Amino acid sequence: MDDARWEKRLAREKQRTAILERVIEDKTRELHLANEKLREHNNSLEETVANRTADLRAALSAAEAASRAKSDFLAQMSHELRTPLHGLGGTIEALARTELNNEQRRLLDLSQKSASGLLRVIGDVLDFSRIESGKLDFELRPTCIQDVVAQAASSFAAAAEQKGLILRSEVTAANPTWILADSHRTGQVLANLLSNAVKFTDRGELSIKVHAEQAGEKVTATWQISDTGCGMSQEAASRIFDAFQQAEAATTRKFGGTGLGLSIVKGIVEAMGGEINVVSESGKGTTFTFTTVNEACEPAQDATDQSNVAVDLAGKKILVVDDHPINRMLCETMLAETGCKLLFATSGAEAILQVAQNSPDIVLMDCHMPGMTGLEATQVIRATGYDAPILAVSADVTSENANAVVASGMQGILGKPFHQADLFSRLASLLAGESIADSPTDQNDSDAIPIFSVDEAITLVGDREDMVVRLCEVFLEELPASAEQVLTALRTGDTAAQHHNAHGLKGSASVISASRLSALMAELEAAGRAGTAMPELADQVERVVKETTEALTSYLASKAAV
Amino acid sequence: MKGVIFTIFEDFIVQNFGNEIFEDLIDDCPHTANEPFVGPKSYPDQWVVDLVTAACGRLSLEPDAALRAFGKFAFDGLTSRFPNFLEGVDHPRQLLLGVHDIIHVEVKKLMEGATPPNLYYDNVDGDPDQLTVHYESARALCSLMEGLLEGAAEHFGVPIEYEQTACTHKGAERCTFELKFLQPVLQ
Repeated sequence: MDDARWEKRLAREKQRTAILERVIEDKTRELHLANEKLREHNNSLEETVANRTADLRAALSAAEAASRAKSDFLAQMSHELRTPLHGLGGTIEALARTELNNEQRRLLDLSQKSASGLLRVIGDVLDFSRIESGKLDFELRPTCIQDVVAQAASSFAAAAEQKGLILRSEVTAANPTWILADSHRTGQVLANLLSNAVKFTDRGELSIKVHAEQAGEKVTATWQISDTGCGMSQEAASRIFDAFQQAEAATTRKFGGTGLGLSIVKGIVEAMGGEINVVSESGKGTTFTFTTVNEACEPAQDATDQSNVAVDLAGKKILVVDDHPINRMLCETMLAETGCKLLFATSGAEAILQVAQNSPDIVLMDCHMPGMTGLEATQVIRATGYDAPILAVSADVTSENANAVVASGMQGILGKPFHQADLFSRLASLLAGESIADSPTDQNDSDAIPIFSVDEAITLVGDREDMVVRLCEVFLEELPASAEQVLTALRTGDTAAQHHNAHGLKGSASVISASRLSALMAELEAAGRAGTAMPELADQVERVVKETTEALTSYLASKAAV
Repeated sequence: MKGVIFTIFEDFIVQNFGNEIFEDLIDDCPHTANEPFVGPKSYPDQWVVDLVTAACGRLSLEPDAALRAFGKFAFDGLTSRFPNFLEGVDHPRQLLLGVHDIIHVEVKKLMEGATPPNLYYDNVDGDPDQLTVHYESARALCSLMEGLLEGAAEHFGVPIEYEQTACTHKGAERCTFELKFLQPVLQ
């Protein structure tokens, strides 16, 4: 190539380099700008995410607070509503037992229906809120499917007959089928479905059919509740399990109801691990089918008298602990004709002393009392060795309270308000097979035993020295009279009185850990029971009573000086 | 057409026929003489046609044969400039299957305004020794495609027998190549 061509080539190559440099610079600038943009975008994105996270966190905590407030409100309201309702229901029951003319009786019936209707609504709302918050508790006990069905059928027999309906029940299973289940909840499902069936059927029949099959340890039961009532459309059936929904808007006007029943039924069945379906046809009728899977079990011990709630309370000592006079009066009225002996205490401290002195066969314990609560009183009572049943009576029937009640040493809760039948059936089941065991002390060498141990007493009442002080005060007040009764029995050689009075003093002395006195009384009690008079111990009793009085007085003085 | 094809064409002419011939070709095509080609820029498709036509005229080459020879040369030119596309690829069948969905997608991202041809495949899941490739481009440079196939065969050491069963120059909608790889694909 000649020089001119090479120079042309050189110029072109230089130009190529220049173009490439420009391309590189342009691309570098573009890249830089894109990076800047990306960084800005990134920053704003991070800010957005941070803001949204903060918003979400705030919303979550607000929602949690609202949910807690709702739960608290419901628990509180249930308590507040049940307490006056209890009063109302009980008063109506008491009034119903008096002499009434027809008009008065009619009005009273109306009041009773309204009160029990209101109670049902409150129960529904509570159940619904429990289901919603996943706090539905199940008490699994040996349950007989046939019994559950028979009970449900019998409670609706009258209502069905009144409307001229036939009520059939049928269980196809190996007879009888025992499963570990919550019979109350299962019965609640059946009752809800049957109550609807009765409500919406004007002619024809209602039926409960259960088919149970056992495979290994599991019993699968299919429950079917059918009616030949008004039925509903497909569309209505599809939302019938939703809360606050009824088949037709007119239903609410015609039949009433909260629209919670079936939603509760579904909630219970699902919480039991089953599922429920409905098949319905307008004008033909409705069939609800649900399944349950439970463990098979041995028949319950008290299977024979399960349905028999008749209870013989004659001669039984029942201690009613409640600070409200109306509640005490209600129990008195409900139990008046049973021939039982009623004892009353208006506070936890009084209850402890009553239990120690009188060893009741059963205690009905109000949970919420000023000062010492029913739970605290129960702990002290159990610590003294008292082992007869104590039944909590409370409007607070939440699982938290139920657990606390059992932990304190009680046998369960009777929810306020309650009917006479509820009270009887709980008393009957608690008294069945229960024995009142005295807890005799074996300590004989009384002088070796301490007169009074503050530490022990404090431990006994659950680290509440203020309570010990109050108990000591009450004890000191009563000591002269009760000591005198024991001394009189000793001097007159009345062994029955010796047994009885020594038993009472033993109990109250042991509560405050006046151990020497309580040991001495245990000895007298045992001797009295055996018919052995012990006049020779009168001096010792006087001495120990004096020592105990001095010890307690000086302890109280030391406390008062503080 | 992207500048990279022009620069590879420049290398092809200079290496095979010398600088003088290349300068002649530039002189023959006046609009190309104004500005040197650079890889990242785009140039009218007509320019490459002009250059190839000029080369064929000057060197007495048959245009299809010239394009085939350039395609074979261009394979190494392209792969040496964009070695990433060969990473992990050890067979021409594997490379071909990636051209449309991977390589050309990346080319469009890297080079603004690039319009690479569309390649479609048949028998993808069939016999691993065979493949049907359909070539579709407004530029209708199926001979260049043939050359690239030959370049790929040489690069991987896997001879490719191919038959063009359809061609846009003969009225088909697209050009179709039936390929047979003479060494089995290593599984």
